[in-house]
Parts: sequence; C-alpha cells; structure tokens
Amino acid sequence: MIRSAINSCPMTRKLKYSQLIERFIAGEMNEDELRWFGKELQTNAELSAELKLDKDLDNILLDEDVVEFRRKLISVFNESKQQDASPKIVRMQPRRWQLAAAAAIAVLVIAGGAILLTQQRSYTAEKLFSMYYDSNRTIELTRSGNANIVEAILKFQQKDYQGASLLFAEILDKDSSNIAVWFYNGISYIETNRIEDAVKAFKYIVEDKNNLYVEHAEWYLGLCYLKNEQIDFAVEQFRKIAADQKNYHHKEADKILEKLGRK
Amino acid sequence: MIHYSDEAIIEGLRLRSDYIIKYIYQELFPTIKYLVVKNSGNDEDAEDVFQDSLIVIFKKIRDNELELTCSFRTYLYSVSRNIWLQKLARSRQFAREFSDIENFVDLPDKVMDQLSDNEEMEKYRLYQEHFLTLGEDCQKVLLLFMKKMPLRDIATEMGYKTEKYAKTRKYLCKEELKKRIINDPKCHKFLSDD
Repeated sequence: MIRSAINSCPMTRKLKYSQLIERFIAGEMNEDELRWFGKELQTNAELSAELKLDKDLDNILLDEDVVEFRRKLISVFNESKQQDASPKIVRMQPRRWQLAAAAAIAVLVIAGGAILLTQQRSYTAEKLFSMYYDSNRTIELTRSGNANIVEAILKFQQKDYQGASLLFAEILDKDSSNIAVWFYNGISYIETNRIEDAVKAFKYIVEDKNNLYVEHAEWYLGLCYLKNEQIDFAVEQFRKIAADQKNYHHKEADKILEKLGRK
Repeated sequence: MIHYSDEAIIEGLRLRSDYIIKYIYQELFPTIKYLVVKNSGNDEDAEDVFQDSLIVIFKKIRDNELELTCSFRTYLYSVSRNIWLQKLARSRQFAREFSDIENFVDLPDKVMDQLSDNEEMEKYRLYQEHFLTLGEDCQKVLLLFMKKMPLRDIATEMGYKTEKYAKTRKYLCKEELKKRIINDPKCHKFLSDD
C-alpha cells in the first residue's frame, strides 16, 4: 500500500530553509528577521513551497484520528492481501499442534497451579474467536440486529472482556435462549478470571443439549475445572469427551487424561 | 462469512475496529476495484479510491455528520464512484461512457464539496503514507508536538534526557519526513507554492 518512491527519483532533492522555517513557526524570529522573511516569501518560490509543505504536514498531523485510521486501513489491507495470496486453509479446524499445545498447557495448569488459563498462548480468546467466530456458527449471534449484541461483539473483539461480559449478561437477562451469547460470555468470564461464572455459562450450554456449541462448551468446562483444581470433576468431564469418538475434542481430552495418569 | 449490519459497520468504523475494516475490505473492495478497473483505472487506483472513500466516511461518522439514506454498501459505492469520476475529470481521461456496476445515490452537497477537492485528498493520503513509514519514535514525537504537549512532558514520555533533545529530535523527524516527500515524484505536483 505504501509505495516507496524515494529511490525512484534520479537526483535527491534537498531542503534549503528548514531551520529558518522552524524558527519562524516557533515564533523565535526577531522583528528584523520577520520582516526579511516576509519579503523573501514574496519572491522566493522555494522558501514559499517549503513553508507550505511544513504547514500542510502540521495540518495533517493535527488530525491524529485520521492518521490512526489510515494506519489501520493500511495494516488491514496489507494483511488481507497477504492472506489472499497465501494458500487457503480450513478455518474451522484448529491445527493439530495447536491442540497438542493446548493439552500440554492444560496439564501445566494443574502442575503449576499458578498459570492462568488466560495465559495459554495457543488458546487466547483472540484465537478462539478467530477459530469459531468466523464460522457459520456465529451467524445467529450477528443477525439478530440487536444493537447491544453488536456492541458486545465489538467489545469482545477489542478484548474488552469485562465490558463485553456486562453487555452479554444484559442480553441474557432479556433473552436467555441465545446460546451463542452464553458461549462468548463464558469465554469472557475465563478472560476476566471469573471461572465459577464461566462454569455456569458452559454448564447451561451443555444442559441445553440441542445446540451447536455443546462440544466446545464441554471442553471449556473441563478446562475451567482444571483451572479451579477440581481434578475429579475435570477427569470426569474429559472422560466424557474422550469416550465420544465424534466429539471434536476427544483426542485432546484423551491426552490430558493420559498426562494426569487417570486414563 | 458473517454479515454485519450497517449499524455495526458504522459503529465499527467509529471505533476503528480491525474486524470491521477487514470485513469492509473483503466484502466491498472487489466491487470498487471492478468499478475503477472497468473505467480506465488499475488496481492501485482502486485501492487509493477505496481508502479515500473510507477516510471521507470515517470523518463523517466521527463528526456525527453521516446521514445514511441508503445501505452502507450503496453509500460507499457512491462516494467511491464520485471520487473516481473527479479523478478522471482532473486527468482528462473522462471516459465517453462511464460504466456503473451497482446502484448509486446522489450525495448531499456537503459530501460532494468534500469530494471535489480530489487533489487535496490525494496529497493528504501520500503525506500520511510517508508519515507512517517513519520510525515509531519519530511518529510519536511528531504527534506529541502537534498536541502541544510541553517539551518537558514530551522528553519524559519519550525517555529523552533533555527538553533540548526532544526539540532536536522533532526537528530531525520532520526534516526526514519532508525529505521523503520532496523526493517522491508522486508528490512533486503538490510542492509548488500556489
């Protein structure tokens, strides 16, 4: 997007009046200098052009909002173009190594007791979000046209999990049937270290049964138990997952049980 | 792919949300690209038009002046279409027939006035792009100066030992930015004093 053109010019151009302009703009010139500068501006096109450039730049930098928006545009466009150029990957499925890493990290949580679930590098909420939110599973969440939901999603995307969670809770107060909101609220609770609340959210999804989030909710429920060092509950949960060959997380659950010596 | 409502898109733009910008790029850029390329432009022109359109819309949203009388898609298309028409007119490449590929709306006079200064838009885009190629330190010090932050606070914020160094650093950074601009052939047309 940003095109480097500096080297495309056959001869490097130089600025001649920067110091003068700097002193003029900073109000550091005395009366004689000011008078001379004013006269010079009328006849010296180069000085005039350099001053104009300086002022243009000041105007541009004054509008920091637009500069920051431009920064975002360039960054997102470049990223999108790179993604378009790279081979397609199946977005619904996390890579094997990510799952293995998640399982290994989950064991570390038990062993160390101090490692927060939120610090799992392979399973940050951001990654989770990109894994699941881009899928058709979340259509239900965004099609409702409810302004609160839109705002909550934006907060979640911006990692304002506390803010997102407040809005998710408001939405659920009015309509507790939106399973997608329960799910993302559960993730927000994990991110804000409200594990008990996360457990409640995932349990609600699991007990509801007839929804698309059950498998993932089962998995996060297990991880929450691990985080809370409720090992027996965690083992029971992972055994349930591992026993179901169709469960998306069954292999990972099996690995965790193996590491725990509770297979 | 999920579908954001127009309301979410506008709120996302106000918040400069990566997700929304990405979504707009993926959903709407192909149309704008097709429009520009079909009407004597190239891919690079299309990106410039698309960026400039979003900047215009962002400013309107930020200043609470955006009045949507159609879908966001149609509005963006209409803004981009006008920017490209102005550019063609300015470069005297105006096609005998301009091929539209979607419906468009007549934009309010206020928006049209903004779009009419096509050259100013291009200048701002190029200057901003050069600014964004500076090192992070330079970008930050220049922005802090523009906020009129006292030199002492700038020195503290940037970890400089003296206020004098903060001032020198700002001077050198601006000098570097100006050098990059005057040596970019694309910027030469903006550098006269008239």
